Amino acid sequence: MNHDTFNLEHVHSLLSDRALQGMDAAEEAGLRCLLTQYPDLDTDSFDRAAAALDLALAAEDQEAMPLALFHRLQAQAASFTAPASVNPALVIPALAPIAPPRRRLGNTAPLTWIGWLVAAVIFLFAVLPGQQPKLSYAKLKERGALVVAAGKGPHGTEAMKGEFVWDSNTQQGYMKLAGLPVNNPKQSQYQLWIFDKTKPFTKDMPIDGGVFDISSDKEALIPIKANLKVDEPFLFAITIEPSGGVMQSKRDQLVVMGAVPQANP
Amino acid sequence: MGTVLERIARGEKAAVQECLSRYGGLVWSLARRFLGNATEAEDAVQEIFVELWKNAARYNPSLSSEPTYITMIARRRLIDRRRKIVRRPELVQLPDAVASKQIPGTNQIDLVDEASQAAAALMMLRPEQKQVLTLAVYQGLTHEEISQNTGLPLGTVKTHARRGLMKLREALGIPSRPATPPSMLGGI
Repeated sequence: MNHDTFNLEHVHSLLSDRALQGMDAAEEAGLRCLLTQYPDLDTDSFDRAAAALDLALAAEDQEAMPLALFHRLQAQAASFTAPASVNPALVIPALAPIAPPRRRLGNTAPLTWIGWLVAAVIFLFAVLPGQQPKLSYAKLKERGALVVAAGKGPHGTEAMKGEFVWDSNTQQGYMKLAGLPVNNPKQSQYQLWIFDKTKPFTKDMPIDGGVFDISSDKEALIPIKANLKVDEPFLFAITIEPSGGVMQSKRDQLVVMGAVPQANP
Repeated sequence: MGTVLERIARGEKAAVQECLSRYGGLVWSLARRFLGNATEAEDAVQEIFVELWKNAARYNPSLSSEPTYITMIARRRLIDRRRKIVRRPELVQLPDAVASKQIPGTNQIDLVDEASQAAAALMMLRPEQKQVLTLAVYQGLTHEEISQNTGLPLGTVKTHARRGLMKLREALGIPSRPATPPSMLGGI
């Protein structure tokens, strides 16, 4: 690799870093210095690629902003004046008020399709480090795995009871559940979510613990299939989702919850 | 007619409101995902919209779709803001208390061509590249966090990220050397 190729690769690496996780002032200064050697490089191209991917991955996650914030921004928008540099000759009259919301049924299919596609990608390619031999439910408990009582969630039934068992060392766990209604896998499935203290982002995007079905009214023992390393779970939750599961739950059908008891200070 | 940002740049007042109605959900959802904390997210959303309105003329439709451009600007501001937050958001119990009903006059963003192409291009990447980019872009994990969570060495994570983004860029037809000024984002 010659010096120029090495330098360009380094610049690409820095631009990639910046697009994905940002930079501090010193790093930016260093990048700016390097970029003087490549004056015609599009420094936003990595950001555009990341943004397009973000749009694709988050297609189903859009939620409306709080009404109060929307009204504040509306007020700001109403008082906003275009920058003085605008050429008055180019200003065209305001259009009619914005049309009322349209439920774009036609858009649902591609959005859903992309959502499933992405969920499949994440599920298929989430690789966990150091695969361990499969341990039984009893063996995990013997080894002192975390055991959390499962209780009825806001949309669960009174008959629901069970427990979550998780061993962070082996990254293995089970759910032992009774009283969950039998589901039709063609219509919906249960999906486990795990909230991890060591990963604050899981507050909003809990770790996907896998989808599963309940096929009888007998007690079910289901292995947990976390798609990311779980170090210190503090909450397990089960929701009902469309078949195949979702990347991010709307949490509108939360049927089971199991919170790890907090130790007294 | 033009895009919403082009119309704002021409001084069209109604386009400012339309920008908010059309992209409010997108920017808010990004902010919530990046920052978690609702108060922080609200501040960020206001900052982002004001910046978008003020700098609407910087948008160049030949380089990207408008939703992609707005996502790009929002992502950059949110990444910056997140880096400045010393303490991460406090953990709270679910369910989420944030309003989820559609606000009248707002629309969910259509999945633009670029996003569809990006999703398709993602499928073509190597498994490790897919994993790293998904964790970085969607989950917002830093390279170090990805390394810790996947067991991949940090250098390997960075390489997968860079190569994956370059392949996505190629698949999306994003030129690496455009004829336009180098940065539309104001910084470098």
